[in-house]
Amino acid sequence: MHTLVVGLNHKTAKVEIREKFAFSDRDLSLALRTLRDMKSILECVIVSTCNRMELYVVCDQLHTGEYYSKAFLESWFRIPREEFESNLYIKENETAVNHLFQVVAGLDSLVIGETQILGQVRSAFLTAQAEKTTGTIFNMLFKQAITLGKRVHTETEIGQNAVSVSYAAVELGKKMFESFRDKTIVLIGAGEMGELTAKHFYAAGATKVIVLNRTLAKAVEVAQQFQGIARSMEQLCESLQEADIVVSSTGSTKPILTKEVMEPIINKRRSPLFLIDIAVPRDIDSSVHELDQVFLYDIDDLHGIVDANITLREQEAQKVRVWIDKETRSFQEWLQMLGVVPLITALREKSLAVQEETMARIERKLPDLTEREKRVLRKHTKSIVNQLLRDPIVRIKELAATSQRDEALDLFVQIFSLEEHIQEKEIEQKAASSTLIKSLNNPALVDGKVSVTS
Amino acid sequence: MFAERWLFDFLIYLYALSLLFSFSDLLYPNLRSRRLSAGLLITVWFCQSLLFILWIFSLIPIALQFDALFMYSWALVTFTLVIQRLYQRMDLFVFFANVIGFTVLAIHLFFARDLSPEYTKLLLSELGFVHISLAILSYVSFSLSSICAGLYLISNYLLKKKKWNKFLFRLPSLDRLQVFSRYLVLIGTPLLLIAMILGVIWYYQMIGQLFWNDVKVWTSSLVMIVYGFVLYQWVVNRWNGRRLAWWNTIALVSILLNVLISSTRISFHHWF
Repeated sequence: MHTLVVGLNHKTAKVEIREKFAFSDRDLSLALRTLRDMKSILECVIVSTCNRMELYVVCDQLHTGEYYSKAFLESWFRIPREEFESNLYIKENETAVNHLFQVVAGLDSLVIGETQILGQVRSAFLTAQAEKTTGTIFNMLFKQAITLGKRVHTETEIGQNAVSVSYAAVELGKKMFESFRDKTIVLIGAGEMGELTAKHFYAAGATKVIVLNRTLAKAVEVAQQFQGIARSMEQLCESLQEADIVVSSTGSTKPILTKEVMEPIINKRRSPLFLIDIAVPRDIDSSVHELDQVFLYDIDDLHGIVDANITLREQEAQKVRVWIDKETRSFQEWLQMLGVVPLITALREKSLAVQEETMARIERKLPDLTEREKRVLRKHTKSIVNQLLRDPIVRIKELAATSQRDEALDLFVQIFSLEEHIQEKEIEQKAASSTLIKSLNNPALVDGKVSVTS
Repeated sequence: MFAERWLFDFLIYLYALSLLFSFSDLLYPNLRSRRLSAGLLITVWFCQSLLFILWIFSLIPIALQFDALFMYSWALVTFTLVIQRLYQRMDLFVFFANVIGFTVLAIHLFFARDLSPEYTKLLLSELGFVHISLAILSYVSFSLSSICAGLYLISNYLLKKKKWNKFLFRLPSLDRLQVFSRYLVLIGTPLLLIAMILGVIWYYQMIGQLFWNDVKVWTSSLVMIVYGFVLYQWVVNRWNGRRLAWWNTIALVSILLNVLISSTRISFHHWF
């Protein structure tokens, strides 16, 4: 059994490619069923977001799993394989598991530490589970991944600090004001960047927005977005007296706010005044920052915050990478243990069959045994079986986690002569899965050919 | 005596562990340390409250003496727990408040071996108990207010110097620190005033004119004057920002001086 990831993301494919490989919510269920019905694929989950499209599959053979995953993409999106093959990445087994853990932790995202991807992977897994395209391996793997993702976001600060300039301004504002609910924002100039910053403040709870612009009509247009007030530039001083946060982005070549202008306004204030100057050339004279209770930041300062936050996220990512390696090892151990389970079950069943046969023989030879005597005999013969099996089972579990796993399992099968028993089980499983496939009414498999339709 | 004092030892170890985890969380933010620190602090509060109740109902041996420092520490823990529960991002404030709380409790543990008979008498009288309780509450308010003012100065410095680091991100907002420091002075001042009036009444009854010879009376008046000044400047002269925060932080010296005077034998107000 192998785990495989076939996909593309923002690092390997441009948006023109990514948009062609997006699964719509409506078609996802059908796509999952179609993929699962491909030859060699036993379990599958499809993660499709604006930045990535990934097929997670469990297959019996790696090369066929990879081949049929690509065949599925080719057929589903009706795009020749040669056109997208160079954009695909293939990750196998341990690397695939590690990749999934990196994805849920936000380490593989465009913005490191983003939290949205965790919800998207969770939703993809739940859809696959509802479509019954997941089994023992993916049920375990995705649950482990989602738990890890939650832990990363609650126990680290990887996703907590702003990494965009406009949001950094809001975050900085929180260092001055506990809440923006009763705060007044004065937007000087109706530039795009200023408008975006004001939008972030408005979304963060600011209730009063005053927009000042040389052209009043433009101010009115922008103010309407925030149910705000539009004023002409002549009302600047009056507006500043009401302000808690000032966002300035005019096209002026000279500073419009100087220390002399600000000083009388500040003397009347009791709370901090936060000034954001995102204009180039700057609108506010840098000496204003020297005034008590006034905090002035320009575009470079905001970039500085973003850089500091990215460094902070990188530091947290180092911590998360250690967790991911640990979780990957833990999953691999579980997976290896999973291969031992059928052998142990087979050995137990065989031993118990011997015990039952022996009991039947005893009962035939000693017909006068009472019910109590039979119970005692049954209990003790079972106890002999269990005691004899205990050590071999413990040893094989230990060996399964070592590099000599395959040889050890083969030897185990040979020593206890389990070949026949395992073959019987495999036939039973195949019969069960073919019944399931028929029940899904799949024409491709009925014909013995693979055909994929969108 | 040894067997009875283990309770205090246990308390101090718990408090130290809580501070240790809190410090670890400040350096390397992690949920486990934060939870452990909060859990241990709650346990400290329960133990302190239990000892307090047992002492009120005279259920513990007289060897375990209570004094103003123990009450001060208990009040600090109570305040910080309430603030921690009600407000987010107050980790630094809680940490510094508990450093003071722990220091005071440790002084109480290692030095509070015998109380003066006057002090015990005072504590056991109704009027005296109210006087001491109110005075302690006012000192707690002033201490917390000064911590907020100190944190305001740090935050103000980092924001002015544009130093973007983990420490800045963990500090509460400037307006919250301002509000806390102002209102805690506003609460503390009338409490101290009432405590002083009650104290005057009590001591006049007990020792008459000699009362004015005690240095502690003068240092308590100094605390009242200093914090009264801070309050006056804020309300009347609309002092604000850095200047008010500096005054508020410096005002903590008057409390420290008061504690120092109380601890010497030159005053009959022995805190321990």
